[in-house]
Amino acid sequence: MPHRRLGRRDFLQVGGLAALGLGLGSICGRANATASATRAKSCILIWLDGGPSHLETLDPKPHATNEVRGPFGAIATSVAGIEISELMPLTAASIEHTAIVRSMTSPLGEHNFGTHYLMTGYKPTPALNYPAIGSVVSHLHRGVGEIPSHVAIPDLRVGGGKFVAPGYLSTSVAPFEVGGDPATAGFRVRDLDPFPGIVDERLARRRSYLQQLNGVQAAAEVIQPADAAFEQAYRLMTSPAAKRAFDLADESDATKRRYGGKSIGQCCLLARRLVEAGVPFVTVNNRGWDTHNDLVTRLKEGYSGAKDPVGLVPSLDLAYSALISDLSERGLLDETLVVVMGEFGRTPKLNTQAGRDHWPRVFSVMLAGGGVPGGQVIGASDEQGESPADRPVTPADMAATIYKLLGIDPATTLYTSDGRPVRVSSEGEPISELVG
Amino acid sequence: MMPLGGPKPMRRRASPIYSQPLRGNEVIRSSIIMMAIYPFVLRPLRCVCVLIGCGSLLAAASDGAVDFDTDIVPLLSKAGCNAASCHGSTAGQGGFRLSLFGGDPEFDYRSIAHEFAGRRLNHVNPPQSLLLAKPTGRLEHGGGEVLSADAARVIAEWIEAGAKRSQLRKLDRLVVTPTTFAAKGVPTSFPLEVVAHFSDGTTRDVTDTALYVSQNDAALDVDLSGLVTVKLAGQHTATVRFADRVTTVGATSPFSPAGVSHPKSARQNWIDDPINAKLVALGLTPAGACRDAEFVRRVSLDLTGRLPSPERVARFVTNVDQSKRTKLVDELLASDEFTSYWTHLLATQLRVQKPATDARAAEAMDDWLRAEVAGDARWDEIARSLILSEGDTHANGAATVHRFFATARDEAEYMSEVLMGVRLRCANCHNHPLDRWTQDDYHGLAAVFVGLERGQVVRDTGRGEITHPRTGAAALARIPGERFLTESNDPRDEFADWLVAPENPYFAHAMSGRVWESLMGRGLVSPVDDVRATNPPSHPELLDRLADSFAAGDYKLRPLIREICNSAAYHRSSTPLEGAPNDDRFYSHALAKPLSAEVLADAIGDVTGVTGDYAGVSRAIDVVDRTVLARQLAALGPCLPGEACSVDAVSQRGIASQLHLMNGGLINAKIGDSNGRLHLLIDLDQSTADIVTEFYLLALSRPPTDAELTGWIEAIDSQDDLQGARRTRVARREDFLWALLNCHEFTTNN
Repeated sequence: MPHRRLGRRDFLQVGGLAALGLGLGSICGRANATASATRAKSCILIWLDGGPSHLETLDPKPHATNEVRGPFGAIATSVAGIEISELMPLTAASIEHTAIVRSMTSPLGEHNFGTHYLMTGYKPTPALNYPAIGSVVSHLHRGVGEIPSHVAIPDLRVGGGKFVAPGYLSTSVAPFEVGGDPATAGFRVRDLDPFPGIVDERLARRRSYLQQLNGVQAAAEVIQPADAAFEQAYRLMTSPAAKRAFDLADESDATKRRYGGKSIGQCCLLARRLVEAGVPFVTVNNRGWDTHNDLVTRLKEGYSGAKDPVGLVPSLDLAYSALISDLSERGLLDETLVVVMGEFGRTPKLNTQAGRDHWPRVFSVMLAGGGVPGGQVIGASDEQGESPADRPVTPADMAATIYKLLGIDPATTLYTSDGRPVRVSSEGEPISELVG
Repeated sequence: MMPLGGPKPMRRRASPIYSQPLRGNEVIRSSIIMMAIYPFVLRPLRCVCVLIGCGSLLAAASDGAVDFDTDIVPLLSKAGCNAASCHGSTAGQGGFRLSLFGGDPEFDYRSIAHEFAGRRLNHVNPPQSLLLAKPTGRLEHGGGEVLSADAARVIAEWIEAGAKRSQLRKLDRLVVTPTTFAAKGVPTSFPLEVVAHFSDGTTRDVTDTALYVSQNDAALDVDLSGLVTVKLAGQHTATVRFADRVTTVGATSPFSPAGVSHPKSARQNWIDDPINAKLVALGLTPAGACRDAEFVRRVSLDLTGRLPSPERVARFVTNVDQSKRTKLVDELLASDEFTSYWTHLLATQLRVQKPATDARAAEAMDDWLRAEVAGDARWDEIARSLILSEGDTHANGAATVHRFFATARDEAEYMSEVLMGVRLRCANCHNHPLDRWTQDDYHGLAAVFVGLERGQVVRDTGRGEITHPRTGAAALARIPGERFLTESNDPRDEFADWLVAPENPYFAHAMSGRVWESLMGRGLVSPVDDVRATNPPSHPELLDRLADSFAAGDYKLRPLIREICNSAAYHRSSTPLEGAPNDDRFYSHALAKPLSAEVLADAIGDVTGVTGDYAGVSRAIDVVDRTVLARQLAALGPCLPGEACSVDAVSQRGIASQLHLMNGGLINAKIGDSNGRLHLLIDLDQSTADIVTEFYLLALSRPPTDAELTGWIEAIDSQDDLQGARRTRVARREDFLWALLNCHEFTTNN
């Protein structure tokens, strides 16, 4: 009996079906016996590219020696017993929404490797490229909606630029990169507006002509991942609702000011609009956190020559707190998981340039919304902020947590193009304090 | 099974090759071990290790000569103790660190016997040693109970005997029988036999102690005892590891059991023999030869990066010369266009880039490369120049290569990837777990290049050193996998001599493999720059013969390309036979190759009659500074400066690319250009039939079929709006051209 060898598409379909059965129940709004607590429909990942200092954000060490404590102090928050950096007063004032994990630990202190581990939940290996969490969500969610299900603002050039988000999955689950900074005047999504003279009628005609031409080729069974990308692009460019979701002009100046004028603020505002429009995974990519020198300028004050000199942490504080309160006011916080992380932390001791170097052994992540119980700190670093003192949490555990919160069973099996089964997450345990 | 030389293995397997349904627990057991030893791929929860038996070790132990390197370390490997998820992690686990997969027994011995003043061993009461009490479950152990009583007894005996690392023997060879296996159907099981040959002349059956990892669990299973089960048709591989050696076993199973008959045309030259043998073994019937028009388009794109002109296509198709295909290959190989395109391909492979802002150095390198290709220079001479060149990079372009890198380590990685097709990178931090490379090799090769001063003038200072991360001392310059270099000679000379020597197993293979990939759409080793013991070629014999032929032909590219282009495999149609299995690696039909960003951009320019402008250069393949392409051709996914690009990379055109192709200027501006071909034809009042036919010939190298032509005339000329008839028809013709430039037949080389 002849055996037909399964092709890439077959496996993608098998993977998709398995996923629909096993994991997506709750995302699709159907009853799911195993994930009763799931509330998150969407996830906004605020990625602090370069590796944010845990000591200057979520895990200050005010009582340590000068070289560990660094230039800033700690402040109390709205929950007794929790202190965070004095650079984050707005977040501190509403910490009841936020859970902080202070015992993240990873062995990988190089940007590209650390990024791969945090973004995928798997340590990098030359044998297999793992997909980013956002691409897995997109894979399990594909074919739905006019806006791509994985959007990166402004792009997903992370970890030095070598990270391939779809990993072993089809390129159609690569994030749609909007390509511009929403904080710049006249921001438009790159190439979303038609070329002069190309009216909608012509877009439709081009699509139908193209299908005609490719139909001739269909007999050849040529596998073309570009097809899925074309169809998604077409839905996007012909959907008024999609165009509206990307248009910040709809927001009042007051709202824009609330998020802050920096890139991270306007990116978060756009992320909120996309989540409102039903996009399941949005990555806000904020650069500049690789602070090897001059923490005071880079993290707090900003460069004096800048139009609006504000450092990274106050910009994050403003954007994050605005996003959380805005989502909350709109009744979206419960169904939107917000995660703030980077690829690692920074060295406990200041270096000679008043900066901190890469430090993966312990660092912090914060989460809010999506059913996460806020106002708690999970795990702790030691007195120097050097190692986990309690309850070590790996990036694999964090990925499993995010999947679980999004209603995706970490045991869901996906398939590589040559048919190898790989679990969505196989190295981690969801953090029980967060997933309930 | 093959008869084995030397003393008989201590345990023989009686079972002949047999076929039976899979037992459920075998699957589960083998997947557990897969996870335990291959943590990067599929890691279990925490440190799940496995209970093992070790008959062979017991025998060794009874000789009273338990050897640390060859008995104890493999035992720890089999139990999963030194996996990256457990104590093999760079940070260790629970304060106890072992080298990854036992790659460094000296380190392991220090950890076990000496660290913390030897507290891990109890010489008075060996079973009470922490080393044994924990993994046997007598003391709490995060990894659980992983050592069997038998294994524990061997370790206890070793401790009892003084816990010495006496290095009684070294592993010389690991012989796996069989190394390949052809199943007649699935599922089929067969047993492996793994025999270790030691330096003291002894041999031992280590089948039970070796580690097995399938590269694809769904297709091939290997259980703890070395029983292999082939589960899917195709060709599959598993790796076998014992002590510091790793090798592979391959199994095939046919897609269709019936005998396959090959027509005579399926063999044109020696290249076809190994290809056809594999097709027969797999029960795959090759597609027939492609049509003349397809051939001329294919070979023009492959050799010159250009579409053939409609005149050339017409001339070729109507030519009745029996050897016209061979002659066309020769004609193209002799053309200037070949030199331009293969210079571009080599520059891509060599990752030519502008060092900082020094455009002149990049241009000098490009000029040098172009002259080498034009003169059909030997690849070994090109490689030598890359390694040895020095001097002013504005005059001596080859020396620019040294300026691509900030450090000698980067240069060592580059040289190994680009010239040897191997990735030494993993061996920066630990001995390579999937190959033979050690940290000595990695840092030793870096030491070869450490003396270079990488300014506009590149010179060898003879100073500088590479710190070996394990010893903290200066790494000794070293030929990877071979020997340390004496201080008296220039290490770069020695490296270059070794690299290009005919007996070097990497050099000719790497380049002939790349040429094969470029022409055939898939590397015999894939990815093409990841040659390693555990990533075997799909057609090992063919790769060897290509490499031999390349070396015998003075390492010249044109003869090698000629041989491949004259094979029946190259001539096959890209349309698989009706009902054929989905074959993406056995060459039963030609693989459709996506056009690279540069070739596609040039093709769009040629078809529309509107040339490009890349900072003054009209063809993208001639651009030296790739930052210009990165900017202008972003939507097509160009090869970025300094990056290793593969055939795969160019096909990743996502949503943003599609938006640009529809809404951006790349295609729209050329279609609508009033001096472009379309509008000139419209101005000449050409009919839709003429326009469609002309663009088909230009873009697809074939006329439209009658049905296609009728369809287009219908679609474009039918008027429901007499008022705006002319304008509408222009728009429709533009849209036809847009679709043509985006369709699969145009954007791939079929």
